[in-house]
Amino acid sequence: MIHTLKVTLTVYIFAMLCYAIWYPLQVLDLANLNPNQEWLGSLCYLPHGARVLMFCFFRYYSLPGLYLAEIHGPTFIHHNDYMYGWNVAALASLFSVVAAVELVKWTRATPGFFSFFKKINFENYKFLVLVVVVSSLLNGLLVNSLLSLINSTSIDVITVFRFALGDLLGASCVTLGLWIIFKTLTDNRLIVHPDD
Amino acid sequence: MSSKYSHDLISILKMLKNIEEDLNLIKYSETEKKIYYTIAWKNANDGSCCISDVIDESGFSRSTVYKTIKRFEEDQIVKIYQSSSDKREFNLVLA
Repeated sequence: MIHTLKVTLTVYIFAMLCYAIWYPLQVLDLANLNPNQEWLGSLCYLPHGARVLMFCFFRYYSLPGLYLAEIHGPTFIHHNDYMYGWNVAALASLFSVVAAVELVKWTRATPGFFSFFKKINFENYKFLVLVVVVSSLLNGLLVNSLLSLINSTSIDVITVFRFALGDLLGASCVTLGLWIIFKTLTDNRLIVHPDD
Repeated sequence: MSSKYSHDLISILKMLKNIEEDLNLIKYSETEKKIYYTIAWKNANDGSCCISDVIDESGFSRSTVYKTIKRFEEDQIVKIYQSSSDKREFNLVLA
């Protein structure tokens, strides 16, 4: 129980931090290319990085925290930029990550028979890359299909592609950002390598 | 902290370390980095640093320290000067 609480809190704070960093960067228009401040969509959706990283390392314990952040993130930041039905679409986003991890597991990334309870050793970051790619594609398809069903509108292929690319680049940026922080901290001796 | 929670957090750090190793960005080992930091720290605090100081402060053997300093000198990140007060001693300065 304490573990679940700790994980939920950690995941929630991390995911909200991703939202808090992502949104100002998204609306920052230094070159004044978007003077009317219209919503153009994101090609670097950092919250997807939080979804993938947190689910990969904290597994199913991370889902409550992630879902809370999926609801609160858009509400606190700027809910008008999100389509109606996002709360349901958020479930599809989380499902895309879960499905990607289980798919990678199914390809015998874990030794022995397939089981939902087995965990992949994500210390091998190549599995993480696979999960990022598969979950981005799935998320683009699932979320847009669901949103178009809820809102009774059609969503074009470009939007699906933008979702997939945005998630892919966003997750990569979060991992890269964490790596830079980790490298800086170890180089300054503020933390030691886990193996030392 | 519970061990499971710490273990999960450490897994994230290990994953980041593996990225670093695969990208091959680490030129120097942990020992070499420690020796370099010792030289920098000694120079910053005492204004000078000789090889004996590095051996005493870092706790590494004389041969390890000599070998590492030789490598730093080849890479031109540390310069070696003969001490004016003791001709047998060499002062180390960051390049």
